[in-house]
Amino acid sequence: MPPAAKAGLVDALAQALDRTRISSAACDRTAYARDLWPRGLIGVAHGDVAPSPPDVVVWPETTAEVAAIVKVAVARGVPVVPFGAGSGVTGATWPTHGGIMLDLKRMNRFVALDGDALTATFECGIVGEHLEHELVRRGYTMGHFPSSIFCSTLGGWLAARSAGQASTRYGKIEDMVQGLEVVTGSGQVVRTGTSTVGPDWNQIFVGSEGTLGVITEATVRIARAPEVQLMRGWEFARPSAGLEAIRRLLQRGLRPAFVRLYDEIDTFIAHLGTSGPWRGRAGRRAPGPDGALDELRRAALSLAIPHVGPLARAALGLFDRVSRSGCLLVLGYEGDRALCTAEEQVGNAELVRAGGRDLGPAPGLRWLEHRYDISYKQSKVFHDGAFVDTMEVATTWEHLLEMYEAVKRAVGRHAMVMAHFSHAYPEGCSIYFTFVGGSSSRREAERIYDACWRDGLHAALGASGTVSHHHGIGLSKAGFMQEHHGELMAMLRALKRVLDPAGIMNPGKLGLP
Amino acid sequence: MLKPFDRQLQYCAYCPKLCRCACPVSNAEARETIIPQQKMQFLHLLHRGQLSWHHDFTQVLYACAACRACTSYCKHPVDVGPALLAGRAAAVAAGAGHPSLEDFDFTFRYRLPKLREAARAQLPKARFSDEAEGAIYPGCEAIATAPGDVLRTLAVLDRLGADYLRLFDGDELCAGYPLWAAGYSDAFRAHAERVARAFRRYRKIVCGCPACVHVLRRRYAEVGVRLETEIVDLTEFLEGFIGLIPVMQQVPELFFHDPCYLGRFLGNFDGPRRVLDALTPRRYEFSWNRGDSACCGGGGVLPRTAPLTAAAMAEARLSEVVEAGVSLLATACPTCKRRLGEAAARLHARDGGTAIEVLGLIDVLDRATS
Amino acid sequence: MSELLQRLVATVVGPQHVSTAAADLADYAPAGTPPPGDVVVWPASAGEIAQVLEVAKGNGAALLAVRRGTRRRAVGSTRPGSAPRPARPTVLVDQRRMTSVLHLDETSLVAHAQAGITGRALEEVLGRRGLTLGYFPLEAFALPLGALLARRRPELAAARVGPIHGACLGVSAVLADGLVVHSRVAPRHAAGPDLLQLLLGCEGGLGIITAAVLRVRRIPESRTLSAFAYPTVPGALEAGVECLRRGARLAALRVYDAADAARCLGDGGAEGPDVPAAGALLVCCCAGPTELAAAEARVLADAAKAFGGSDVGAAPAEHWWRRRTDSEEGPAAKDPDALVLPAPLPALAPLHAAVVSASTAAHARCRVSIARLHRGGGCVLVTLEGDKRSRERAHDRILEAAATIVGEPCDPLREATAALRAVLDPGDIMSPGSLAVAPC
Ligand SMILES: Cc1cc2nc3c(=O)[nH]c(=O)nc-3n(C[C@H](O)[C@H](O)[C@H](O)COP(=O)(O)OP(=O)(O)OC[C@H]3O[C@@H](n4cnc5c(N)ncnc54)[C@H](O)[C@@H]3O)c2cc1C
Ligand code: SF4
Ligand code: SF4
Repeated sequence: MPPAAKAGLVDALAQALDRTRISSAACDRTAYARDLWPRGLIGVAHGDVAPSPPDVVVWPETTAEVAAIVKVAVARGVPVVPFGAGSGVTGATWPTHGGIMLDLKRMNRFVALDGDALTATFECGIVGEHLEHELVRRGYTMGHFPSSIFCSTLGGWLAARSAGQASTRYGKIEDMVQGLEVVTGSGQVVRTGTSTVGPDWNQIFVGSEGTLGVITEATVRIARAPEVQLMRGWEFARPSAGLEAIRRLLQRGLRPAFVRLYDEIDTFIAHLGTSGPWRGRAGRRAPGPDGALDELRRAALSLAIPHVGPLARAALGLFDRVSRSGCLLVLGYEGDRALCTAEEQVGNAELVRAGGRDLGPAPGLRWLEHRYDISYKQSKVFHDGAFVDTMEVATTWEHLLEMYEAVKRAVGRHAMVMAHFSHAYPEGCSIYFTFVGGSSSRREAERIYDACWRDGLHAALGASGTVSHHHGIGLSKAGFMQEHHGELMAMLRALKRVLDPAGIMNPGKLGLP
Repeated sequence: MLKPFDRQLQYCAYCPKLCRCACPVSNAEARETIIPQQKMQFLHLLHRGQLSWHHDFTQVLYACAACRACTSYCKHPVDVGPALLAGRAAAVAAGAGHPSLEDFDFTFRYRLPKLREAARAQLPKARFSDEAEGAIYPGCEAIATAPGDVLRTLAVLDRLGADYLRLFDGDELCAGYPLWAAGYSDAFRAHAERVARAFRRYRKIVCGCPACVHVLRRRYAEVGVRLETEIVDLTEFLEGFIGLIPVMQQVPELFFHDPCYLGRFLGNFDGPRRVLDALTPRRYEFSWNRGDSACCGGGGVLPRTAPLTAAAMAEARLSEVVEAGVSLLATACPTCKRRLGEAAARLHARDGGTAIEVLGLIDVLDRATS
Repeated sequence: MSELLQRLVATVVGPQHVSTAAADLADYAPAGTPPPGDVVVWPASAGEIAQVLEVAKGNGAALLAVRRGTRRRAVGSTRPGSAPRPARPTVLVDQRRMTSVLHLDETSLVAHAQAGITGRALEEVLGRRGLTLGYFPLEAFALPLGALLARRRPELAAARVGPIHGACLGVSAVLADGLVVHSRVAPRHAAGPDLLQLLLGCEGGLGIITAAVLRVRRIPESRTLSAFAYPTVPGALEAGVECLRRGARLAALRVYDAADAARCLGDGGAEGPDVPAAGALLVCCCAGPTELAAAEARVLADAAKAFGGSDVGAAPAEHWWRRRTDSEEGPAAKDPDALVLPAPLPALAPLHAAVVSASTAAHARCRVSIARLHRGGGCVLVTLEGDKRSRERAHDRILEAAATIVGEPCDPLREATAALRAVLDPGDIMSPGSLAVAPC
């Protein structure tokens, strides 16, 4: 940010909100200098903790304050980056051009609940776990359970088109949104959701990653808290058989809440993960696949660092064991007791017909118990100089296996890859690839990391896939937007010009200037 | 000093902030800088020498109530609160402690004889004994701010037939939690030794404050101080009387707030509930309860380092009681009682509505048995 | 000018596919009004449309996507007469030759078809493979896909999908600068804003839709129909909605008031099912795998009874089902005494009450149904009876009441929409005058 724009910025902002809620302290600038983009974590491992600090951080409490802040930014030509909880994994909140970091978490009120229409309205800075908790204690659920539910906000979900673990039943965030309050890039406050003519603005602001405006409030569809959860595990010989079963199930009109099929390696990890002793509190959450990721990490490192002989042999052993295990499918229904019971019956018959082996409820329940565990395990990987990241792409059933093979091959050239299939729809499914790689040198680790993404996404796009299913674009995939959208990018650029004429909203993201 | 926390610091440094939603301090301030993961990352960097020990950065170590809510959400699990307190000790050693805690070791020592004077002035002299089978040790918070509570404790104990418990007599009326929390580790060790010596005169100490109990049982051992005295938490002690309590009248419906130190540190979630259930027809649970309970803001010397935040935490905790329109809130820790009581008064003065009365377990027993 | 245009356009599409004949042009205007353009062209592909666009641009002409239809209304205009005829020459683009089904992906259950194919024609192709678009009102199938998707039509909804836009996974379109764009087809994405939603509902103002990819479904293996009588319309509505709230994914449901039930569901039209005079009838269809449809029917029956309904047997519902598949049931669009009033769920009961009191106040009689219900809303269908004057009075009062309860068609970001048009179509060539509506 040019010094001229910076001078007096804090004083100007003090016209918009209380000085106690403006900071340019070193610790604040450091804390807001990155999100959870794994490429940034490689840097952290090498001591680079603040790759991209903002100049100022502000904590507005009302929509009016947000609008006033944006107007200050427009007047001074200073970038504004909306910040939810910084759990994004794409660098979407990195203030690469400096400027104002606008943290929304003080706007976290529960505004309204309509039990008849089954909608609820929240301010967007509310953290997921708090939001769900507020609904649950009133007898409802949003049905949105991203693995990051503890560390992400409603605004971030909307801005990045998030998906939860029960998306097959409740949909992704874009399926839930009913209306938004948005402060556009010119500081104007608008409410969407009431429109009957023209573009569906909900769907324009959803996914905009802070580049078009700040979402301050949202009304979302909710559901009654489920009466039952019927979980079950299945084993299939190969991913293709499991996928075929899921497809048939959904196309017959069944709507399980949870559908996850792990490929051979991921199944192996999932199994290992649940064999450990139970720890944590009161049996609610227990440790995740410590041993499993350890093995994987070592395996990956040995691939990356060829001279580590014994480890390389261990890795080969791992692959060998893995290829002999089948694929685990976890499937669960939730909702009305009578409906779910019937759905499960029909569904079970379908899965048996498709060649599935019924493993009973235990693996399903275990998965439910451990559903958020895996994320705790990344620390060790990074600490050892390796990296782990996930690539979530989607396509229609017709192209799914092709995309699976293509991405696995492409990324597998650089790192160790495994995958599970979650977020299934009647017309297609998303694939969640996890890849682990590494090098002891930062430059080399970053090079490998970039190669994984470059080759993986080209492969996905080439196989009629999307560039992202639910993590968004941010910085990491900005270079792929053109390839994903083709000439339609012209429309996105036009939107940007119209809604953010000063070009101050989260510049450099989504492949926009 | 930080060596034992090496591994935990590494976990947090790369963690995707999974416990952030639990931290009452960062929830109150909504500041990314002080979520558990960031506080630990700063400590990690300070420890590794990648940041210098300067208040610019060490300040984040003080934005913690040492409440362990984050640990409930951690799979490893990392004990963030104590790690940050160890970080404070390192900061103090490096001359980068918190300005509001300057010379805290000195003021602490200076305060002890005053506490004793206060105790002597307000509590029945006859009850003090410098040597006994069992003694009651009310904790500094109660003596300094609520001597009436101590009197009530004695009355209830008498009614329960525990009149054999004497009052601890000595200068060491504080177990040293504030020193530990403020990061004055040398002073803490020295004080612990003094307390241990004083305690030798008693076989069993019933302690009115669960934070004291934790410090006595766990933190003393950590600094190499061994206690020969049996330490019993007051709630634990009272549990022994369930079924024997001479209940004269039931107490109206009430909420119960889990004190962090009783619950997450001592692991006693059911005890206070069982006692209360013998005294009231209806006990409400906060929706965040037991291991997920939200701190009242009183821990970690937060009221000194961030008074506004601490106050906001207490008020936030009360919102559910206000919403339910219930007028009694019970807890089992003198600090919680005080912080929540003050917040309730503030809320009532500001917003009107039902006045919430905050009671200790003893107060509830007192009402039920008189 | 039109001759020149005709000649130039003919070089693109061939002379037989372009016309300036008054008889041809008249097809695109309501009877008695002047045609909305000077030349009509029947292109065969998006590429041809792009070239026609270039021709129009080069000659200062505008382009308007149109269709021949019963109402002879231009796709591009919001309300008849709301788009003033531009002073410059206008080329009408009718995609009636663009009727191919490009790809039927039976693995993913998606159909890719050109924009000129009508829903009915597409349904025929699908039906041969055991597929269907879903239980949308038949009215939806009368339109070509392009027209169907170019405006938002909350009234054309199916219980499981909601408004028919929800079935669209992607489109191809020609933009004002001549680019032919294709939105990437995927079940979901997180690649920024959903740009597809700029093209859907844009009335041809941001681009002309030339092909669409739609979700289709298998024709359900079994169907359970049921009917319940209620003392009041709101009671019946509440029971139906309760089922939706419980998560039952009913295939279709509808509430008739007593008069409409008598008229529509009796044998031969005269004797209706046994519904109390002030009462209502809830009819429902559960469809899908046999056991599941049966379970949904049970949940429905429980809810129906819990809300004070009595089971009147399947016969009225079967009658309803026959009618709704044979012909578009309820008021036909062209009937001036019929109103179709879409509204969000919570507004349906107040709207129904307002309709009844408005027509009573105007001394008209009305028959009312609440149909096309889905999780987000439904439609109040009104048929007015009585003498002409009171019918007209009632008609106006009902529209007024609906406007206060549901609101007028509006765009909360009207200025942004206009600005977007200005950026994408600086020459104002694409459907000039479109998207000009009130702010919300
Ligand atoms: C361990 C882990 C697991 C994850 N699992 C999932 C998962 O299961 N499903 C999933 O979908 N994602 C997942 N994610 C990704 C991430 O949690 C989501 O992208 C989430 O939506 C980001 O929310 P946030 O509040 O942290 O937003 P941030 O990271 O703060 O911001 C993300 C983007 O949104 C913008 N933004 C934030 N708030 C607003 C606002 N109010 N208005 C306008 N723009 C705004 C920011 O500018 C930025 O561009 C995971 C991440 C981690 C670290
Ligand atoms: S305490 Fe546990 S959950 Fe919290 S940041 Fe550290 S490692 Fe993560
Ligand atoms: S111990 Fe409590 S206050 Fe400290 S970081 Fe953890 S949750 Fe926050």
